[in-house]
Amino acid sequence: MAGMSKAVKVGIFLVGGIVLFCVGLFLVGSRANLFGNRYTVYADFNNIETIDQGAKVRVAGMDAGEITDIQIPSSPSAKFRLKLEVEKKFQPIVRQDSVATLETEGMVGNVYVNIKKGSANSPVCKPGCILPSQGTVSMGQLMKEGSALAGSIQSTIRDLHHRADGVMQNLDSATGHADQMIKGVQPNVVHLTSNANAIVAGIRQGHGTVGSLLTDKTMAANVNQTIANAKQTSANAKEASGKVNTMMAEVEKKDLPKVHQTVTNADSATQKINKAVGKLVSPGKNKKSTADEIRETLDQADRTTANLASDTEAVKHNFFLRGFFNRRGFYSFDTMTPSKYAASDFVKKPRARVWVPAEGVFTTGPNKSQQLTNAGKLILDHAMEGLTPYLPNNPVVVEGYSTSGPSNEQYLASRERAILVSEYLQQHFHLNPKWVGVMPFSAHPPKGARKETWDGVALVLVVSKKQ
Amino acid sequence: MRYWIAAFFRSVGEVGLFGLRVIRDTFRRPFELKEIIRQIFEIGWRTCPLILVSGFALGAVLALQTRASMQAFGAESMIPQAVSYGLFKDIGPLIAALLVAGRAGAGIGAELAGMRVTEQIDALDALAIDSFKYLVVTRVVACVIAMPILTTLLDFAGLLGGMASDLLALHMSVRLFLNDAFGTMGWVDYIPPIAKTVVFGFIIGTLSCYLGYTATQGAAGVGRASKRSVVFSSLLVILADAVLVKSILFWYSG
Repeated sequence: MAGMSKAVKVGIFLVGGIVLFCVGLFLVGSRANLFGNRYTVYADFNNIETIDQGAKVRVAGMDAGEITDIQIPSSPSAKFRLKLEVEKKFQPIVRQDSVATLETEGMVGNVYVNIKKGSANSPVCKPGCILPSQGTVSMGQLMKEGSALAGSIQSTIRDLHHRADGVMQNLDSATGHADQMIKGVQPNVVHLTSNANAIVAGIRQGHGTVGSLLTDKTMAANVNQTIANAKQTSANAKEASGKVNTMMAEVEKKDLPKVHQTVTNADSATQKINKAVGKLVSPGKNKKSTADEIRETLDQADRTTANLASDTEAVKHNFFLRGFFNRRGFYSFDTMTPSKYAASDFVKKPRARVWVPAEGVFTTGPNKSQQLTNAGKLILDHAMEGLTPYLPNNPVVVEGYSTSGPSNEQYLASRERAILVSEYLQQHFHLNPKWVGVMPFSAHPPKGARKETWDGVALVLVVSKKQ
Repeated sequence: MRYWIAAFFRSVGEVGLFGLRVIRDTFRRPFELKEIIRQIFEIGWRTCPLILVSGFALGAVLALQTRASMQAFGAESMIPQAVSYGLFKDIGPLIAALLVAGRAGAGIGAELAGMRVTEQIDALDALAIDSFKYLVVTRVVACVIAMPILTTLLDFAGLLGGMASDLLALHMSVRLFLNDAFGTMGWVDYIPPIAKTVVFGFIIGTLSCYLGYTATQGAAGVGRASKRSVVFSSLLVILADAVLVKSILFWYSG
């Protein structure tokens, strides 16, 4: 440094300063890119949204140039023409169908022109071509469209609501029919089966009895009565089947073949009974074969009624009718499996769910049996406060939980607890046993209950939608 | 009172004429090239360390101070932009001009005043050397040439300072910093602010030379000339800056 002459130092100063200035020029210029190879395209806009000369032009979001000129339209119907200088390297992707839009950086940023990429089969936009443009949507316009949309959604929903109402009404009447049918059939079936059972029992006692039976007028009258009953049953069943038919047509054809089968069975059964009785009453016939036939017939009638019962059960579980039966209190707690239960309203949307911890409520007696303490009864009474507004005639389930011991003991204890509590509640609150269920869950409540483990019981109540 | 007003207008007029004479003489032969180089060395090169160090510190401080307010908006990525905008658009030129006024302006005022009161200038005139051309024009030209270069140096030193501060605090890459710093900067933000320092250089050189060249009353006059050089150049630079910024905004429509 010391050996350097002043002239050299001044030279360094000048050259260094100028070079630095030029570096700055290039750094700044890399954006403005006056040195880059550019070409001109145009875009017309109705509203230029405060955009100014020198504003950025982006191609598919990448900085590509700037607006160099804004031509003001000569008449109100004409549009503003923006002159866009775009870097040459973007030319391959700027096609004649590339749409130019005015966009804003962020919420309050600068306005810039965005050119979308064109489609591959559209010709390349040559310098000087005019790109199609798309005006920005103003906030007011957006709101107007939004409100129109909301209106149409509302009317759609109203329409849907209306339709759903109609469907529900249909369903309701269908289930009403089904109910009526079941109610109508039930006493007859019971009567028939008991009669048939009595007859079969009598016949099973031996030939002598059958012999005396044949001469006994009252017995014959009884048989006649039985046949009349069977006929009545069959007529009822037929009528019911007709109702079921119409109902099923309305809902689905799921259980129709089964019901048909049942009715056919019942029909043929009655025919056989008819025939048998005809043989029975007509003189000079083989006694044994007649008796056998009666037995056979009655067996068949028995089976038929069993079929009918299982069909009724099937109807109960029919997807469409299940809800109805459930609402009617046909919560068959006997056949309720834990998985079914976990999917039911008891877990999904109970009206009330009260968790009662085991501590103080249960004591473990001899043989590890659970016992309900007096203090526990008070705790349960207190816990029921949440449920009493919906009592009676809303289904209540007592879920049992226990976390002590291996899983089999957990299950046993949880079941015992649930049974103890449900018995106590039935007795203390005079609950209809039909409305009270028991669900032992060992240690882990079902997923929807939002608890990992529990020790004690949970009282769950759902509200029937229609009573 | 009237005396003061008259004195004020007389000095303004004298400075104006002095400035015009400088401009006129700059383009008249003979060009005192050797002396100009010597003055650039004095004013430019010798001021470099001061400019670089203060520029670096200024940039670092700017970055640190903006960080606090940027953090409040979660806009830390704006720090490079804030530093570069602040430095390049106004703080850089102004600080560079004030530093040059303080260091070179005082030097020129004191040197010329000293020569005046010791009658060296009269001696030069007696030797038929154009003392105005030899002493004043060379210094003003050196100021005008050195000023933009010093400003550029200060700008970049400041950017370096801001970058250092940001790199340490945010672990930002150099490339990203530079991209952010220059990303939204246009020519308008870069060239006019540096170009306007030519005016600052002319103001500093002319005022300091005038005050030194016209000094009277011996040693006290030297001190006064030195002091006034700094005060008046700084003041006028700031006032000129306001006018220049406004006219830049006007001409380039910001």
